[in-house]
Amino acid sequence: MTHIVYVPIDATARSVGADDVAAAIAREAAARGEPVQIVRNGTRGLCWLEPLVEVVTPAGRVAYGPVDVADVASLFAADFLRGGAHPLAHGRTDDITWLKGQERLTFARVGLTDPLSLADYKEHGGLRGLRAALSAKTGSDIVEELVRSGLRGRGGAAFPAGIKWRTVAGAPGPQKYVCCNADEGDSGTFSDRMLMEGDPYVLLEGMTIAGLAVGADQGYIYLRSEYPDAERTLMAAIEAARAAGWLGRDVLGSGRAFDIELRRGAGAYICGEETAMLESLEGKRGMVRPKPPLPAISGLFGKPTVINNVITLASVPIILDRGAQFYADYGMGRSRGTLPFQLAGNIKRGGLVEKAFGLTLRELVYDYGGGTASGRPVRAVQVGGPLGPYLPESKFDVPLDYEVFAAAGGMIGHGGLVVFDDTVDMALMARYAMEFCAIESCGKCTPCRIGSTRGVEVIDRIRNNERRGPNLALLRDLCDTMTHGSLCAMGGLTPAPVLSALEHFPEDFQR
Amino acid sequence: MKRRLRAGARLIVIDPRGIDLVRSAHIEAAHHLQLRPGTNVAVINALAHVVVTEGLYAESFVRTRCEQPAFDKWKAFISDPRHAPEVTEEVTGVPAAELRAAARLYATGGNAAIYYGLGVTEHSQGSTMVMGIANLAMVTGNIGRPGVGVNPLRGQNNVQGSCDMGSFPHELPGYRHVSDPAVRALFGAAWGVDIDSEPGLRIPNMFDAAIGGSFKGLYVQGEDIAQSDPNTQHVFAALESLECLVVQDLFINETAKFAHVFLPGSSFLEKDGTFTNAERRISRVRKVTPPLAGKADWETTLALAEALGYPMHYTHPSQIMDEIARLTPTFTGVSYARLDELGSIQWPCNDKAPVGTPVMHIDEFVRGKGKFVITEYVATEERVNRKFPLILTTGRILSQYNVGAQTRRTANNTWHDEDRLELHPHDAEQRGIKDGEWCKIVSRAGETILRATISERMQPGVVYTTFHFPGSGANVITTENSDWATNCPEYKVTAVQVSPTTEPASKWQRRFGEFSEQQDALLPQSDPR
Amino acid sequence: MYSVKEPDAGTPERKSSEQVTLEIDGHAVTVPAGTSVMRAAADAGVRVPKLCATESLEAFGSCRLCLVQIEGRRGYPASCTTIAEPGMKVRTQSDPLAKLRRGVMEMYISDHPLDCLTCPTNGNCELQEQAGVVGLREVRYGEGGANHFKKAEKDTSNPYFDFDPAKCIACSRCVRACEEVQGTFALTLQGRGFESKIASGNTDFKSSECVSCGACVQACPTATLVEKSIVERGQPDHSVVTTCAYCGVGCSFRAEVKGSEVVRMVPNKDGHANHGHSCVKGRFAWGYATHKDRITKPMIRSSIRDPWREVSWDEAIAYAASEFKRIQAEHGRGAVGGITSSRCTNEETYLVQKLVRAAFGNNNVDTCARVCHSPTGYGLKTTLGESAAPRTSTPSSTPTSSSSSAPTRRTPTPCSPRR
Repeated sequence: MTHIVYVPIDATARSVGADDVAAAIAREAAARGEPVQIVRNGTRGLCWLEPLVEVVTPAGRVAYGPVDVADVASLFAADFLRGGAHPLAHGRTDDITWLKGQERLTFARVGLTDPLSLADYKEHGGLRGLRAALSAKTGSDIVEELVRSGLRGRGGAAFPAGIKWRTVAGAPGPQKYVCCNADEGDSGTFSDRMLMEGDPYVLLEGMTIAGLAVGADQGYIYLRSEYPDAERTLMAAIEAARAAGWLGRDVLGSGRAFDIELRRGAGAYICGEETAMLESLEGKRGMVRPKPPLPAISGLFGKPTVINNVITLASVPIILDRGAQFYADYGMGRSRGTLPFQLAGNIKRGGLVEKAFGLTLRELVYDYGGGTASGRPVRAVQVGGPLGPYLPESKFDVPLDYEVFAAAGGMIGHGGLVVFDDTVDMALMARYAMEFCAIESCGKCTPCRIGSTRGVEVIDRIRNNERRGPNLALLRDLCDTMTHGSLCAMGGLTPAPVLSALEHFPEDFQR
Repeated sequence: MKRRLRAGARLIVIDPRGIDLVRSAHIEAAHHLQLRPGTNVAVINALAHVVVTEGLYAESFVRTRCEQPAFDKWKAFISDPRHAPEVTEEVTGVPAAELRAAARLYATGGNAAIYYGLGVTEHSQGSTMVMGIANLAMVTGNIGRPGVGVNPLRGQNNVQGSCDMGSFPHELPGYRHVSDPAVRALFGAAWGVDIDSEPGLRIPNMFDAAIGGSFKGLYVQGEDIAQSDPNTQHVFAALESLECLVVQDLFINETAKFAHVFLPGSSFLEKDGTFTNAERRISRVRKVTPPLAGKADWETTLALAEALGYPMHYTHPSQIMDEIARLTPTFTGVSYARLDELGSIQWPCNDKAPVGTPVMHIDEFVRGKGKFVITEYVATEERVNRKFPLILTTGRILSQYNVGAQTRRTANNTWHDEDRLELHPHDAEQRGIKDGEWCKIVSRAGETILRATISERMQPGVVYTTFHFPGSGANVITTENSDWATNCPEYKVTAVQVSPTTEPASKWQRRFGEFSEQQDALLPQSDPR
Repeated sequence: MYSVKEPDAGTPERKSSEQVTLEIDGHAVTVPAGTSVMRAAADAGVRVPKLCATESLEAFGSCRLCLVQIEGRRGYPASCTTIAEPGMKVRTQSDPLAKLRRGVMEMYISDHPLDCLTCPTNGNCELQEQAGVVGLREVRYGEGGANHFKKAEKDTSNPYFDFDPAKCIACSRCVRACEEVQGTFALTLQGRGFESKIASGNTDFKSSECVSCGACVQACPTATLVEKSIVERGQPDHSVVTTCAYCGVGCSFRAEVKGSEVVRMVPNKDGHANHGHSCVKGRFAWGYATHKDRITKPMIRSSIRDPWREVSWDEAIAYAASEFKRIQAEHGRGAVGGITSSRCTNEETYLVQKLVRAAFGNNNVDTCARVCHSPTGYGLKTTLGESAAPRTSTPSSTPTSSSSSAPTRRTPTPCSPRR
């Protein structure tokens, strides 16, 4: 009997030696005459256990991790191919607490399947959403289904996806586009990447459904250049989907056309801002456009354009498959469905947790994350990327719902968490926020272009105790100008982490 | 034009050279018909042939706006298979499929306009080509409304105006023939003289007559005929035989070197007046500074007329315009006051069109019905052969203006400080010519020496030069061939041979250099200003 | 920049059959649909502070000085990029707006050299003017911060204008002018964030794709791009509208004059043929008018082998007239003639042909147009009946066929050149 062994091909796993582990397992198996089929799957999202090797046993998949090349011999010795006991064993993967409590809708297949296997994809429920969309009477039926699901943009702005699609569908003109924003640049975020590397077809399926819904026949994925693995996977997936007739002039034999092209960015954070992304897609310098006009009305090459991020689009197939209500049953308030949270920074158990809205930072940081990796107390968590506020422990019990969390001074954004222990200097973190902006601003509007650099300088003066009082007042004025005067969210939100540091950790500015 | 192209308009370029419009930032021509110089008419006929034989023509426009018998005749002519692009390809070098595609685009792509310059006119079939263009515009209905039409691009500020103002030996102002007694009577009465009913001499006739001894005196205002007219050596001989050449200009130009009287001219900054641009738009020229030499050009002509015994009584150019308006039906509504009020006026401006006429030919053509004219392609007599295997064509560049009298005296020389011969790498390789080195260009008319620039913009077999510097002698090598109807010189086609040389100057160029130095020495010592 | 202050509504004019009425600072104003709030405000006589906006270029929204408040809308939308809507109630002045504008201006000035008194555009600088308008009173960022002016190197390679990055506020007006007005795309904003700077590609202006049309210089609101003639001679005191004497486009220009000396030629925004655009020749190459080669005294000689003799106007004219009369007496009325110029004015041309026909008494008059466009006259007269351009040359056609004349080369404004 051939043993099936899963070794993730995800970049996280590869970065800690998954390729070598896979090779070592193959070598060892050959040496021992054990017939082994190694499947390179996506990651399960338990990053601290990577490389997480799974073997298929009659009882289900059994997990071992983190596996080092040096562990391979002992794993074979322990007969891991049959689920044998070993210090690295975690039992049945599905029983691991970390995974068990999750509500994986968008990430349902990620980690289970061979990312590029069309058969795996179909076997695990793939294409059902697209078939449902194709059987819908009109594009607007699809749009309304999405509206009812309550799905909101997962890129950060949380605008209702269905409403956006409705605008694009209603905009006049024969040529429309679907653009997937895969420029996942926020610090501490990796859900887009994991999805693209682990289940690329679901993204292609979601984009195709979007195309059908709004009447677009061409999609673009704007992928950041820092994701070479995702690029390889997506390119192969697009090729395979075309060959299988999932994409192209005749999608699944429906007579409807939709195709996708992958475009790679060039390393600019600002190109994750949707209008700068459009400029870049058009071959220009990635610079923010004023809105209005909304991209939904005048987007790529001036045509009505759906722009959603990876997770948003990848959540569409399951909504079409299981129905809007199924999806809307998750979550709380106006935040429906699930969000893949990403735990990063100084955290013991980093990884991806997909849960319905409504859980708290405390659950994520302590129950899932297990506190800091350093073992020291948690002092602050930054949620929502480099433009998100720093939150102290007092905010850890606020439910993660877009509105409620915002009211408490937080920003869910793309769902990334970066955890800091009590050694962090929050004045330095405030400076970092300004510095990040100074480097990554597109350079168009003055508050962002000049303000961020002045922000760094003023914080430096405060930290050096130069005219601290007036400089603190100046810093607040500067933040005010940036918040209200900037052209886009980059300059507008840069003051958020700075002001949150001033508010919650004032002592760090007085040292 | 570029702006419209960026907004999605499509472009067909017909040019022997790979000019910038073929491809530059955010612009790419849909079709570039890279024809051999001298085959314009064959190309325009082939375009019309495709339009007609593929049934792409604007039937109702032709029916209502054009003369039917002339159209029927032309249709039969143009439908003949000898105009098919597959046949003309051999002559023109333009691939038939490309030409057909271009014809279809022009005929069916919506509003289509034709812009052209001297590459159309300066040929032995220049007039034929213009009529061919008009035929094509009429047959596709692309004339007489905004966004379409036939649009000649004029090289000089007031080419249009000088033509309007009766500068031709057979026409009084407003293009009215001197043989028309009513016209002569009108002007004769206004001017108090009898006007000769015989057309006078054209410039080439003047030169011939000068050499022949019957033409002796010439008053030249602001024009360098020694440089800009073809066959320089013939022109020089003609100028040398004049007994009184009066030149009125800003500078001692090439013509002034042959002059007996030099009357200092005034620049456009030093006088009042009007220019008429290529859109028939009359605009005011206003005096910015006083005339450097004390007289504006109109005052000088006034003084000369008076000395000739014919005093004219104007105290301001506006009075001259008033007279033009009185005597010219297309100008009756034009006055300085009206120009100040409207900013500019496109003639005709009269009772029927009190604010001018931005688009002509809207409801009917000036002549009534448009007339299709048979445009048979006749190859120029200027042929390449073994001795002269290359075709030389001439042109201009942005930073220099015409014969360069003005621009050569500015920092524009930074970009273009000499005329060079541009040729394809293949032709250069064959002849051992290196980029930047001297090469000799020989034609049936003469020879000159220029530095070479090797460029892929050229097609093999075609070479190119500009004529901004007098010492380049580009017009020493151009021939006396000219347009059959108007004598417009055929600058655009000269058969030449090119060879490398170590000499920096031809015999003519050396003579020219010596002559220029002599003439410089004859000038009064100028006080360094 | 236009030196004699001209009204600038900030964004281009829009034409529409639909009219929109809105309220700006309490004034009702009606504008064509598609008009920006900024332009509507200008129509209502309200000048909103601005730096990156100018009416020759599409709105860009980068300077953030033109922020306004609109009833029922969150935040502070930029008036240049916000389109006027029916019933909109706009406030252009309020305490928060004043504070924001001052905050933005404080940032600008923190990265600008304070050498106004010796600056070539002193007294005619939009940055200077707007700093006054928003009431900037102090710059609290102090010295020693990062800046673009201390180590900036001036690019003087172009013969007609200087590029001094020390004065640059990165408004991109030059970049946009190069794209939108000229279509050359020679300029770009390079780098990101604070490092963003204007560049003529990776080379200096002279070696770049720049065709020296001057659109960028005109668009520049500071002394970053400024004519060498202004650097050398200072600001003009008055201007005269006239028409360029180079090509057949006939661009309208403002000749800007200091005393009796021309210091700059600026294309006229209201020019019907050029709509505020120009090329290197009309814009910059007018120095020939005062070149030392100009002959300013009449001269005569009896043979071309003789030296020239400077004489009075009267003597020169009398000599010429007597010679013509002698020739006509000896060789007949037809032995003399005249050549008119296609560069002189209509009036001058008219006079020369009148002189030939009335004073010489023959028709021996011709013009150099023969060597270029006489076939146009003949061909169009035969087919259409008029020997002139049928239409205004502002293309609104879909496909355009251009035939054998390299129009970007010679007559640049209607089609914009590369050199």
